[in-house]
Amino acid sequence: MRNTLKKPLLMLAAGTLFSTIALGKATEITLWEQMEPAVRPTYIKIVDEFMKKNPDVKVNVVHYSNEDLRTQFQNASLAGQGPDVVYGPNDNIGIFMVSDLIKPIDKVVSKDLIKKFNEGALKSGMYDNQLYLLPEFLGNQIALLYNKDLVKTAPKTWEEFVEVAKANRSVNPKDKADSKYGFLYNEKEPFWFVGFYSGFGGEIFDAKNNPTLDNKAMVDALTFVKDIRTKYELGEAGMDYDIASQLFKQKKAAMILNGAWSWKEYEDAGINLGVAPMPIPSKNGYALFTNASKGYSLSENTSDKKTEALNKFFDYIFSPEINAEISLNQSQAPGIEAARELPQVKNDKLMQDSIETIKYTVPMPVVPEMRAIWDAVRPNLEAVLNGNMTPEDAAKKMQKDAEEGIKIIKGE
Amino acid sequence: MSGKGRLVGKNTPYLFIAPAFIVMAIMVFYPLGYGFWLSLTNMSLRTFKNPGFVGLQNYIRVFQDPEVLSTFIRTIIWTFVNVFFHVTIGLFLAILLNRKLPGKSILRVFLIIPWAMPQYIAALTWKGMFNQNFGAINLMLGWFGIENLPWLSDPQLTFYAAIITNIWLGFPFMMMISLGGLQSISADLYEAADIDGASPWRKFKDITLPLLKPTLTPAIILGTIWTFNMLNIIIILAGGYGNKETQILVTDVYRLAFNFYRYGFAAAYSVLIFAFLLIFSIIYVKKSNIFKEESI
Repeated sequence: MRNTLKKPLLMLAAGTLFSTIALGKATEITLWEQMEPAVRPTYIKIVDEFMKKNPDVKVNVVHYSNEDLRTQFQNASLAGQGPDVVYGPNDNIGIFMVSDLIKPIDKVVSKDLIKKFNEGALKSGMYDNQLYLLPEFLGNQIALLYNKDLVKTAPKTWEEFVEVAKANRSVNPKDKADSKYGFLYNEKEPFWFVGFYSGFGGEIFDAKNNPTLDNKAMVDALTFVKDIRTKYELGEAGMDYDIASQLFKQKKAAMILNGAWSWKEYEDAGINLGVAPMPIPSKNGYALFTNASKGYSLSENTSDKKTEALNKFFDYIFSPEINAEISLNQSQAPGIEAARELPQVKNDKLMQDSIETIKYTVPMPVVPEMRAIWDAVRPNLEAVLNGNMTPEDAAKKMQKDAEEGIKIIKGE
Repeated sequence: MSGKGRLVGKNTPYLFIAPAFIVMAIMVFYPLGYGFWLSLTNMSLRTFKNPGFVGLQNYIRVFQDPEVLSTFIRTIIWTFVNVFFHVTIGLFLAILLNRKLPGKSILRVFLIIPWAMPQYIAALTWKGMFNQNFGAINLMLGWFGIENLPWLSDPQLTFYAAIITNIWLGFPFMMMISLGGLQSISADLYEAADIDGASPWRKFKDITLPLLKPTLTPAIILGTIWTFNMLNIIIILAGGYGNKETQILVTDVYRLAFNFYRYGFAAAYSVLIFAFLLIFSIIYVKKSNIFKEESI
C-alpha cells in the first residue's frame, strides 16, 4: 500500500520540480511594437493566449509610438541592447539594415512559414533580395472614397469623375466651411502626390536607387494636380488632411482620397462608404498609390538560442486565423495568403475593398534615400500648386534637390 | 590621530555635494562630452555602429556650407524679433497689471494662458488659424479687404506666421517676470519722484527700468536661448522641414540628424550653436553688470 502511494507521490514531486525548472527556463522574447490603438487590445490578448499554450516562451511586449520606436531602437542597439524583435512599418528596414541593426529573418524562420505569405506582402519586406521583415499585412494604400448617399457608383474614367465632382460642388466664396465639395484631398502631401506620378508611368528610383524625378511622367503629374485645382476648379488652396477629413465626415464632401487606415473611422462616423481606385487620364487609367506593410524584424543582437522560441511565436502569430484577426482590425490585406480565403475576411466589406484596391498600387521603396525624395518633392510641389513654378522647372528642381539630399544621407 | 577630525571635516562638504555632482555628471557632462565626441566622428547611417575619427572635418564643413550663413542670419532675425516683442508686450502688460484695475486677477489668468498651454497644441491651433481658406486670420484680414494670403504655402509667409505664433506664446513669461520685479520696487521711490515733479516717462526710465534690470536680464538671456532653440513651432507650422527658407539653425540640425542621419555633422553644428549661445550669454551678463553688487 505504502509503495503504491510512494510512486505517484514521487512522480508528482518530480513533475513539480521539472515544471518549475522548465518554467524558470522559459525563453524570453522582447518585442517592441508601434501598433495602432485600435489593434493593441486584440494583440495583447493574442500574445497572452500564446504564452498560455507555450509556457516555455515568454513574450514581453513594449509599446512605442512610430518615431520613438525607430530612434529608441537605434539607441538601444548601439549599446548592444534593445529588443529581440521589432514590429513596425517596412520603410524602417532600409534604415535598420544599412546601419546593421537587423539581420535577415529568413535564416531564422522556417521555409514552410515563408511560403505561406502573399507574394506582394513578402516583397515589401525585402531589401537587396533578402527578407528582413515578416509582413503582418500589406496595405496603407490610398483609394478614392465616396459617400454613397451622394455618389451612387464610383466613377470609372476621369471624365466621369469630373462630372460627378462638379455636380456635387457648390462653393460659397464668403464662407468656405459652409460649402459643398465634390472632391478633396491632402494636395500638399508628397505621399498622395506620388500616386499620380506612378499613375502617369513614373518611377521614383532607377535600378541603382538613383532618383528619377525629372521626366515626362513628373511633368504630366504636376500639370495634372495643378489642373485639378485650377482648370477643373476642384481643389481648394490650403486643403490639408484634417480639413478634408472633417468635411468628408460632415457629409460636405462627396469624394476624398485617403488611406486604408482611415476607412473604418469614416464608417463609424456614419458615412455610407464606397471604396474604389482613383481614375486619372493616364495610360492605365488609374493613379497608382503606394503600398506598404508592417511586420516583424529581428534585431542583430538577438541570440541564436532563441531561434526555437521565435519560430514558435511566428508560427502562432502567422496562423491564418490569427493573422486575419489582427488584420481585420485595421482593414489591411492580410500577409498570409490563406487568411485572405477565410470567411471572416471574405465577408468583411472593407477588407475586400482593401484586397481589391491593393491591386492598383506599387510598392513603396524601403531604401533610406526615400527621405530625400519626400524632402525634394514637397516644396516644389507646393510651388507648382501656388503658381510660382512651372511643372518643367519643378521636375528639374526636384531631381536636383533629391540628388543633394541623397548625398547628405550618404555623408558624401 | 588628530588627523581623523580633520579628515572628516575636509571630506564632508564633498559628501554633501556628491549627489548633486553625480546627477550633473550623468545628466549634463556626459551628454555634452558625448556630443562633442560625436562631432569629431563621421557617424552617419552607414557608419552607425563603427564611426571613425575625423578630427575637425565636420566643423570645417559647417563653415563651408553656403546655406549655414543665411540660416544663421534668419535665426538672428527670428530671435531678435521674438524676444523684442516678448519683452515690450510683457513689460507693457505688467505695468498695466501693476496698477489698480478692476478684475485684475482674472485678467492675469487670461494673460498667462498662452504660456500654460502645451506648445504643440497652441502651434496646431495657430496652424488651423493660418489656413488659407478656412483660417480665422485670413477671415479677419478679409474684413479689411485683404485677399487670402497663402500663410502656410509661401515659405516667407510661413516664417512670419511662426514669428507671430511664437510671440503669442512667449510674452506671458516676460509679463510674469516683469510683474514680479515691479512689485518689488518700493512705492516710496515713485512718491519721492512725484514730489520732485518727475514725468511718467522719467519715472519709467530712471526708476522702473534700472530696478527691473536684475530681474529682466536673466529672463532675457533665458528667453533668447529658448527662442534661438525653438524647434517645434517652425516644424509644426511648416509641416516638416521641407522649405529651406523657413529653417532656423536648430531645425536645420534636427533635419540633418534625424531626417538625414548625419549624426557627426549635426553634432558639430550643435556644438557651434552651443558655443555661440555661451559666448552671447557671457557678453550679455558682463555688459549688463547684473552680477556686480552695486547694480542691485
